Amino acid sequence: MRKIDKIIQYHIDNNLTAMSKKFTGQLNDEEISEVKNVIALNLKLKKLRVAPAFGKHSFEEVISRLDIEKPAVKRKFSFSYFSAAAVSMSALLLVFMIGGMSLTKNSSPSSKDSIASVSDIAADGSVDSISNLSLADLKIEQAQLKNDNSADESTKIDFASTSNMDEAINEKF
Amino acid sequence: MKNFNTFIAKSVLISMVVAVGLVMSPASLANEDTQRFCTKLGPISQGMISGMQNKKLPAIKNRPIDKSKFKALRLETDRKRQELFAKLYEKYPSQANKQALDEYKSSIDKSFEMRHQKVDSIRENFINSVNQLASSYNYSTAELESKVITSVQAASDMAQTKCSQGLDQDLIRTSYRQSIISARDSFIANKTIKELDNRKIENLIEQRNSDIESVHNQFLSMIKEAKVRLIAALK
Repeated sequence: MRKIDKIIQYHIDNNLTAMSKKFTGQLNDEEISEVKNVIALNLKLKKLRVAPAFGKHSFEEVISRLDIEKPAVKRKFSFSYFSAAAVSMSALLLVFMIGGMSLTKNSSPSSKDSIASVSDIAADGSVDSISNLSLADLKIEQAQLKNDNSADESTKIDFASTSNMDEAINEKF
Repeated sequence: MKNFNTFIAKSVLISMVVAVGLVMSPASLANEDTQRFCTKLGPISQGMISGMQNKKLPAIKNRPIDKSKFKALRLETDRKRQELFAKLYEKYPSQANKQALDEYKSSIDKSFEMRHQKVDSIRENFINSVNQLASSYNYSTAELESKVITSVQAASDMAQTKCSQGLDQDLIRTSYRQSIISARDSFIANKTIKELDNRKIENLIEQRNSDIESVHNQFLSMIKEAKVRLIAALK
């Protein structure tokens, strides 16, 4: 995962509304601009609140409930909050219009409908698990191969041994 | 005159003592040993050959190829890996994801397959080479031992023949000793060459370790590249 992806993911996950100086030093102008887009969206999301029917849920939570990975939740949302959704439709549209581009591939619902994001794959740890498993398997194999060393030593001793028939001759002289 | 006679008597006595001393000199004892050589030749030769037979070097046994060494580990890793892939497909079921994941899975599976096949092949080739060396070692050792035994036996037979012909035992003994020393020195020289030759085994071990390390590095690169390609496909 690229550093910029990690930083963007970090800002999305933590709903950050400002960019730390520790990040600006690590990124170029273009990357800083990408992060700032995420921050701008986070700021807008924070300000917007849905209708009372959504209770204390903020927009980011509503969006997360629309995640295609949870189709059952989506259906539940569609029916049980239908009327409330209508009330907040304008707000939702506003969010999608603003964030459609800025959320980028990493977190936009439309992106998730088609293809998983790098951050999704990285965040759920599946790929890391496969990489870690591969490394662990390699380490175990290397450890098992070290057991060959004792057999090698034994073989080396066998080959280093030579016939001592000359001793039998010397004993008789 | 009396003194002169006493002097003569003493001189005669001294001469007699010297004569007896000369008869009992080491040279004479050596001659007695030489005279006994032919009678001792048989037991000496048999003892020597028997001692050499007892010191024959046992043959190096072939090393088995343990194909099952990694079997359990590989089965377990394969099972865990397939489980992780199944979860990944479950989480990202869309067709677009599937293509990227298929390619990722295929690359990872190929990396494992490549590593397993190459490591097995390297280990198998190594064992085969070691066993070939062992076979050659056993053959050349047996040949070397057989040659020195034959030489000692031939020297003994020759000396025995000369003894039965009543030839000078001193000469027989000297000739016999020279033949035995020659056989021994030739044996030592050849076994030294063999010792140097046996360092081939260390070269084989080093080569095997280096080849396996190279495969392991290749495996790591393939795993890394597969991940990079997956990330690129998802961008």
